[in-house]
Amino acid sequence: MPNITLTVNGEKMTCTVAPDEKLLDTLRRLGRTDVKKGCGEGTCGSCSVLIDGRLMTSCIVFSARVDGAEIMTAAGLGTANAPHPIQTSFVKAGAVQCGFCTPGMVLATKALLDAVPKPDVSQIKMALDGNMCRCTGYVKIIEAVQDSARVLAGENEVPHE
Amino acid sequence: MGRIQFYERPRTLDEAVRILAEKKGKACVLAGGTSLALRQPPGVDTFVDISRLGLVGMEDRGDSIAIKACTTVAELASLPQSYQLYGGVLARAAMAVASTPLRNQITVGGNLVQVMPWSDLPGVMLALNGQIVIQGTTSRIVPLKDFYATHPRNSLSAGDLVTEVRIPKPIGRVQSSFVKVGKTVFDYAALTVTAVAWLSGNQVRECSVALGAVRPLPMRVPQAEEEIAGRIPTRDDVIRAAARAAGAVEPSQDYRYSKDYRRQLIKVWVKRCLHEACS
Ligand SMILES: Cc1cc2nc3c(=O)[nH]c(=O)nc-3n(C[C@H](O)[C@H](O)[C@H](O)COP(=O)(O)OP(=O)(O)OC[C@H]3O[C@@H](n4cnc5c(N)ncnc54)[C@H](O)[C@@H]3O)c2cc1C
Ligand code: FES
Ligand code: FES
Repeated sequence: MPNITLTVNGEKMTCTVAPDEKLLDTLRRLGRTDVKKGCGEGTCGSCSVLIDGRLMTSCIVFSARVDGAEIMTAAGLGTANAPHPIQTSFVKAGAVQCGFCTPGMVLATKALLDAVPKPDVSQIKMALDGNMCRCTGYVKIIEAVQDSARVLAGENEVPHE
Repeated sequence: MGRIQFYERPRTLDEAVRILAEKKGKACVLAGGTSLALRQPPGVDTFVDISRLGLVGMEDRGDSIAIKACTTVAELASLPQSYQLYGGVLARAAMAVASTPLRNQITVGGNLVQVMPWSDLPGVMLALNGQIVIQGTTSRIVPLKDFYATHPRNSLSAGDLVTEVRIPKPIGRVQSSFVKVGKTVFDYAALTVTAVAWLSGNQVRECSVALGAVRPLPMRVPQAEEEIAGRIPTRDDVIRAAARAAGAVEPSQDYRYSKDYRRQLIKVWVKRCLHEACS
């Protein structure tokens, strides 16, 4: 059984995993239930996390393969008490309905804005192409990404009525 | 699950090859893992993780460019050479693969070896006359044309590891075109077409047309290529080449696309791709 070390949201942890265990299952076993399991086969994006800064669907990542990696989950981005501007923008824009896709969506947004601080709509759509939402219809999600880009750039926020 | 008992993380290529050989079919290479996460080959109890052997990026091999096996599709899409060589078809095809999080995981080697009908890279590499480099019990270089004559699982033996794919450097002026037809950006392809034209002035010296997703394996369409090669192709030549491509292929049928629909797609998209590559 492989022993692995992961740094999850800044906290270093060591654990033993089955050789075919997926990162999604390891993280949830470690109590990181902000990582959501939707399809379990790489198609919905709800289990997305950042692995060394790159967005990946943790349900099809073998835990042993990412030994030593830095993992960020949605709770590592920000919490209810101390939300990240991306999370605040999602709430403000009404981009959260049932919320199941949201942990993946905000991390996909984080990966995008780290690489492209001022994305246009086609870049936003491309960056979120692996994250499905069955509630919102995506319009408000795209607005939330645009809003958070403005906030992070220190620009005046466009008021929502 | 639970059949996998051992996880090996060799430090060198030689060590990886040795473990694979010793385990005689009970071990399999693990690259991106996106396919192995969902299904493993029968009889396998060991993963041999090759993701940390430095098999990443592109290297100059004189008359060809090597794309190393563990380069992710996202890395391929962002390498400058992918945009510069062959009019950027490598970058276009890489961006057509799956979704953003999956492009960060899927490797070039895994995409070429575990060829699924929907795999997007095999067709483009086939059109560019790529060659696959195999290290193992016997080390060899195999043209993709031969590699895809049958399913790679038949020609790769248990100890074999793909280290890179080589793409010949373009000679003279080369233009190309790639398209993936699907219902959304993150959809399995109904069809992929790659068309490449090697030019002398306005004349197309050589031409290649490769199709993906219409048959279990990617394929070249010599019937279309010969209508174009050696000519300064006219609109009629391109239309004739596309019609011959559609006539030459017996497309697969599934619950989403009928045989006839796929044939129509071939006719339309081979025409458009050849038009782009030849003008
Ligand atoms: C939801 C989903 C959607 C997808 N959509 C697309 C798509 O639209 N287009 C597309 O092109 N692909 C798509 N894929 C990817 C494709 O189906 C395969 O999963 C992928 O190409 C496998 O690559 P990998 O690096 O993850 O391989 P792995 O899962 O690591 O390995 C796959 C197989 O290849 C063997 N192998 C891998 N590398 C080597 C090597 N270097 N030498 C010898 N053997 C090797 C392994 O032993 C294994 O048998 C999708 C995958 C998923 C999960
Ligand atoms: S649960 Fe991982 S992509 Fe759906
Ligand atoms: S808010 Fe329900 S799936 Fe997106």
